[in-house]
Amino acid sequence: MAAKLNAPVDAQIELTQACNWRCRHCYNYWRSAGTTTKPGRHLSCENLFRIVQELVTNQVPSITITGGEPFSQRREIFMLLETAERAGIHASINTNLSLVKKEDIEKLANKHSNVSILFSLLSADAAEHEHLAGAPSGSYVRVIEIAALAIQHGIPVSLNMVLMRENLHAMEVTARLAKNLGVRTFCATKALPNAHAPDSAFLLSAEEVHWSLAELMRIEELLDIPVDILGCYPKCFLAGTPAYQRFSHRTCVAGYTTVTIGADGKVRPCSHLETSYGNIFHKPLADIWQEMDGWREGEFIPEECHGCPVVTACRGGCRVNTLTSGLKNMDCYADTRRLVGLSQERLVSHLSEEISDIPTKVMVCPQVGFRNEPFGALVYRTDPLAIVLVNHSAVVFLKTVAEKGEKFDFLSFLKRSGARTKSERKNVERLYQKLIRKGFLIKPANQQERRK
Amino acid sequence: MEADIRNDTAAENEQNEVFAEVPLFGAEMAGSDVSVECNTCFSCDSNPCVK
Repeated sequence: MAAKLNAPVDAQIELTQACNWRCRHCYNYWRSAGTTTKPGRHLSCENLFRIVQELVTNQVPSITITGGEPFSQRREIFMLLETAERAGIHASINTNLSLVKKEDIEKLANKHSNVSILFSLLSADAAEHEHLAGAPSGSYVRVIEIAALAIQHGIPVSLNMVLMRENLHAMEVTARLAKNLGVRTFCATKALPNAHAPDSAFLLSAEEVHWSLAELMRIEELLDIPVDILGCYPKCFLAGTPAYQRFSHRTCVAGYTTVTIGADGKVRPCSHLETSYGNIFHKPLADIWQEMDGWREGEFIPEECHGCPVVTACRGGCRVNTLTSGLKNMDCYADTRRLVGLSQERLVSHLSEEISDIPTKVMVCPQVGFRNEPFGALVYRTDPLAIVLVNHSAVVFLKTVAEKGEKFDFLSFLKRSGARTKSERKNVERLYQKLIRKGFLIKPANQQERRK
Repeated sequence: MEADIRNDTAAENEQNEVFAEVPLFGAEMAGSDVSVECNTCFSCDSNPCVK
């Protein structure tokens, strides 16, 4: 059984349905093939305020502002950022950058220093980018200028290149541009079928996806730039090549850690799908979340996956990859033959990093929040954003030392942990390191000063 | 304030369980050398998510 949360970790807020581009790969369900976007509805300031109130009630620590193109609602996006910030909610923005003005960047940098941006670029070749994005001539130059300006102002910016057959060839040159711009991470993510137009013409075959992953790793080494993918694959798809295991940390999180709140207020488990479980303006988010329990219970995991040893971690891949055949069917990239002979450990990614400079004494960061969960708590902070899930005994300890402002060291932590066996001690040490790495345990101020 | 290293917190813990991270995906991974991140995009690597 996988752990289940009382509420989402992140809510994607579709500020508006309107967009000035016509991306070939666009996943917005309200778009039909061959039609342009209607002006579309958008969330008013009043409704955004109501949404944030619901998120606060449910201790949702993070939002992703998206659309449509969110900067087509300039007043609303800044109002949402301000409201979320006041409520202690972390915000990031998915945008095509083409409508962002220089003064917007200055405002983001000066007033919303915790905001990060993800923008899409389909090729370093201007004509190719504008063709695939359905964007007017000149859009590419504008986007690059604004991205560079945002990075100059210290805003964390990542670039996502949505991969289609037409632009696969441009991965390296686009990554070089990303490197020169100074983006935080170069992401290359395969396009997914649109719910209303599952056109397979531009979608990658299994072989092309494998090639793109190999290319991504080659680019990382060649250019020394952080790379990632933003989609998920069935574990069996990646299992045949050990080097690809680094990409297996992504799993479908629809209705599991995330929800999408549409411009109409409807709450959906997946931003790609139209299926809604209630409207946030008519029903509490907590009730809607409960209605989505099937997503967490494995209702949409294919029958064929239920006997798999890694089904809980994998969850059957991406449900959008099944759009042409039905939500409960196998992900089209699944290949269960590849699982034979592979252990569970090889199917999960190794993300934890060792901490080289472990402080002698630590204390709980004052900004840490605790959200009660059936298994213990979701421990979170929002500046910068980080979460970790811990069991009851660990949260009792963390709350106690946080309330008292106590300082402690690893030996004290270990002693209180109740660990007896070597394996338990190792797990406790790993937890301690993770709490430091994610900023939940920090050096006390006087210790920092002494070191200076 | 320095922490008292007596096992007072453990005493408060009625369930007497060992401190542990809870793997969101795959409780069957417990005991292995790796944990599965929640992979809500940002939490692993500070990238915002596009889906």
